[in-house]
Amino acid sequence: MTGGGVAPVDLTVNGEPLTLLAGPGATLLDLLRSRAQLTGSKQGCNSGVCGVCTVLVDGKTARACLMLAADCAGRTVVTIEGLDDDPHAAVLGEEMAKAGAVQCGYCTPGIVVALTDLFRRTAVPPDAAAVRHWLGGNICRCTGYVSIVEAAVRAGQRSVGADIEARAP
Amino acid sequence: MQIFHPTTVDEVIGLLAAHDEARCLAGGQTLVAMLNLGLLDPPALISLRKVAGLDRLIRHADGGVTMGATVTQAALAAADLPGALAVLGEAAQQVAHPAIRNFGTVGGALCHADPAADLPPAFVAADARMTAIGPDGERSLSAGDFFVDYLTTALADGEILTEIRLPPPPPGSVGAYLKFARVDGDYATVSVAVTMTLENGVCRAARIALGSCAARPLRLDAADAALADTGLDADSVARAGALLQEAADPLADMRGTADYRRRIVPGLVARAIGAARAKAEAPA
Repeated sequence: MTGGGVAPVDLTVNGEPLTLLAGPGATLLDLLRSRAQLTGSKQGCNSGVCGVCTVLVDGKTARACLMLAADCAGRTVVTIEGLDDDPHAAVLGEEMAKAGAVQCGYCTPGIVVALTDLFRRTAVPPDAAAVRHWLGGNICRCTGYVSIVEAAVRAGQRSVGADIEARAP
Repeated sequence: MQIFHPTTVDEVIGLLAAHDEARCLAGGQTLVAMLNLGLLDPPALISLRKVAGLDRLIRHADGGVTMGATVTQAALAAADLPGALAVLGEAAQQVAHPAIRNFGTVGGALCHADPAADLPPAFVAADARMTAIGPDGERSLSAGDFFVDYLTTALADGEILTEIRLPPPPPGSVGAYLKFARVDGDYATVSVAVTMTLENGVCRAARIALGSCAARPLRLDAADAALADTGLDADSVARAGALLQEAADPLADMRGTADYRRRIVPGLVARAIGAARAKAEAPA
């Protein structure tokens, strides 16, 4: 049991075991940005609507702003910084740059994390409808989504394939 | 704010008794948003994450299902439950977005009792039984009695929802959940959950529950009766829709005016009945 003050939370972030101090109302996003200095995950609405804080928690897409830090003990977290060597994320980055799918860039990390999760889960490259459905929880206020969807479809065609299992970490 | 991590339901009950205004934390997908927005400031949170067994979905040999309160919406969405219970999976698939469903729980969504949410009408249409445990022991409530008012359930102070039991779906039963929403993943402007038992094209029994049409999921004996022992002809379906439309007392908000919501009820009811019926006609 945890008291009312600041308490240490043991978790794994981007492959590294960390012990981070969390106040009782702190979220995983607060921990990542303020304690772990991982500022790739952004804070937007802070209420689970916009998707700019999207990270992987125990291998699944999650809202870092909706995970209470004190309830994250033992969890495995991957942020956009942890996808540096991910083949899906690399191809996504290239295609998004090429398509002009990055304007202000604030939503980009969350979108790359969410799409990487989609690419890992699927055996066939997702079509535009599947991408749009999957990104329903990621808001972009610059692009109008057309370029993001185009980039995601192209990236999927390049990186989603029969060897998907082998490439997922 | 203190945070506790009990490992048994008994410990949860003890903590709820010891801490006035304490809240149970399941997936946190609504609760943490409310904390962040300053809408809630409970003195204590009781995490259910380490409570053994609450996240199990058990399929019984007779086709019935028991699911613990912390089964995730994603797990329910992927469960592919048989017959009428398909209404639950279809509703779970339409809750918000993948990230929310991955951690949001069935029990959390039911206890939040938002009448615009997807799961409450689906569980009413499926005639679920809710198991509540409190200081005075265990009791079982129908889903229809569980939802009392906006954001209010029949759970007493100190009680928690531990599991939901679904009766075995009768042979020939089908279920469907249809939502009209302004954008993908939004709360319902209006939603319709329907379960029916069909025998050679004749509807033997039906249960319809609407979301976003009242302070709790809206179900009417008369509307269900209007479909019973019919061939689901257009007149019977229209009659059920008209009865529900008349009983609807929706809010006006950014997802639609009250009048707009009432106007789309009969059409959405007819489409949901059609979707359920199509499953009975499709080869198994």
